[in-house]
Amino acid sequence: MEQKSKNISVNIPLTMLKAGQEAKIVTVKTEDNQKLRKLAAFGIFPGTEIQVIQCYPSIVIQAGFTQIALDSEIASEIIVNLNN
Amino acid sequence: MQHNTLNYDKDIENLIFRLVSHLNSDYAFSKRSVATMLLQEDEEIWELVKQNDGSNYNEIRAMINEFKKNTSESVLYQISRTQQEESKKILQKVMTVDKNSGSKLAKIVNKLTINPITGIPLLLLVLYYGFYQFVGVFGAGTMVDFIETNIFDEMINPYINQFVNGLIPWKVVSDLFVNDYGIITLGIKYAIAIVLPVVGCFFLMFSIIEDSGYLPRISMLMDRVFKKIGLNGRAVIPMTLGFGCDTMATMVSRTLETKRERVISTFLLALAIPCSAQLGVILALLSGKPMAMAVWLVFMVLIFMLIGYLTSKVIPGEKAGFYMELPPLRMPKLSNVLKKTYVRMYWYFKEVLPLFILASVLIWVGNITGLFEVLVRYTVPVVNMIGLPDKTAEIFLFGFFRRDFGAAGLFDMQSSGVLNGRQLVVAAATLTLFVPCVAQFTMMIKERGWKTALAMCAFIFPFAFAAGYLLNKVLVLWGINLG
Repeated sequence: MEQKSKNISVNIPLTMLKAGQEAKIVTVKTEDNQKLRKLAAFGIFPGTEIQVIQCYPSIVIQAGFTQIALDSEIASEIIVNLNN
Repeated sequence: MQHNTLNYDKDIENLIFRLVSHLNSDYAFSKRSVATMLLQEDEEIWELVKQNDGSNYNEIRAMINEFKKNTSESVLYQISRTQQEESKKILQKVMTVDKNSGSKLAKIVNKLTINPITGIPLLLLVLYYGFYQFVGVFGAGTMVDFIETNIFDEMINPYINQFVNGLIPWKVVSDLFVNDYGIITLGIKYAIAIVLPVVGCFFLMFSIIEDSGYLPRISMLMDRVFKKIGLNGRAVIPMTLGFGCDTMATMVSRTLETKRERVISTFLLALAIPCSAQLGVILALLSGKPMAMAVWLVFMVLIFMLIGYLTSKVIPGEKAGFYMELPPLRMPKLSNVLKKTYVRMYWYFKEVLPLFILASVLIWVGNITGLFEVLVRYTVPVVNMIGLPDKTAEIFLFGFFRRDFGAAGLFDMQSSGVLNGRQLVVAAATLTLFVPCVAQFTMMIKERGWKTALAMCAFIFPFAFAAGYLLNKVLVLWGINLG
């Protein structure tokens, strides 16, 4: 959580990334514990480095060896920090 | 055997230790695991603890809440991170990553399957060759033709008819086993000659697609479309399985996350998804008439989307988000595919054969008592209303026992050339929409409860005929010639 305040300017929702861009997950903005838990099981939690593979019809990201498809609602709750 | 336990952060370990001491009951897994899952707020585990260690429940809750208040990062993330780091360490010991080996081709194929521009044509190709050509034309056409005509009608049935009629001089009794509706000449013949090859082909195809890792990619491509009907991409799996066996698919729909999705998918499976035997027979029936096939297909897709859309507006409840792992595409292993196909066919056959036999027996009883005739007489005006000849009434009654049973009967009729193109389409569409078979209805009750299952049937029954009526009227009015 403390990472959030470090450089707030480049923290953006995952939905704003383009295919090929890399980023680091900063936070997952949801109150839904089940969702958080399941996403965490895929490795989606703060600190994970991801790369966007595709944006439409679903957002597909690569996290480690895992490829995950997400709809845009969930992707918009995942806040990432762009690696420049 | 040595167990490797994960070592979490010291504070978490202390808390787990204290939690374990408050768990007194026996759980199916270690108390340490229970404690860890409590910390991750797993609702099912909390429920389990409430039931088994109710007296300590409040204290456990308070301990965890207190701990969470005093930690900066979420406990869930701390645990997940430790777990992931540990699994990475294990992975490094046992796996080497060769960055150059074949990964390029795999990457390209992966992109082709998930990019909608190439992925959707690819999906249509898979459906066309896998289902239409293999299940429909080869399974329901070539194989059924051979087994039904060459083996049963020419070799087995005449011999058995003669044998049993000679053995049992009373026609009333021998009718139970042979002749028009006998257990052997109708029930077993339908099961082995029509249903077995079609269902076998479907399950073989489904197992190949499943093992290749392609299904989640279909989910991903279809997510947006499925959202329009109150479901999400996850429902692609039960829906696709429904094209094999709606009963099995109704059972699988329990894997969907929300109750709303489970209800909608159960309903759509019962209404608009034809099972493989039905589909195979319908494809075979209409295969010589491309216009008729197109009309049936468009009509079914329209009904599926329209009713799905309306249902999603009517049924309350929250929408479930879509997130799914896309496993790497792999070449399916033949032995695994065959084993899966065998197990599914075994499950199906164990389920279907007794019902086919029961249907034969019931028809026999119905014939003797005259009850069947009465039912047929009541059904005749209904089928006439949708433009079908009297004889189809029987088929709709068969269809009540099993979807495939009705479709198989329709196939028999078509062979004798009673129906024209328009009647075939109307019969095929109505039969597809028509009530779920007895087995599916039983599963609906089991999974969704009496009330929901009955309410669904109460809608489907008149709706199927109303839709058939409308389709027939439109085809007649527009004077569409379907051969």
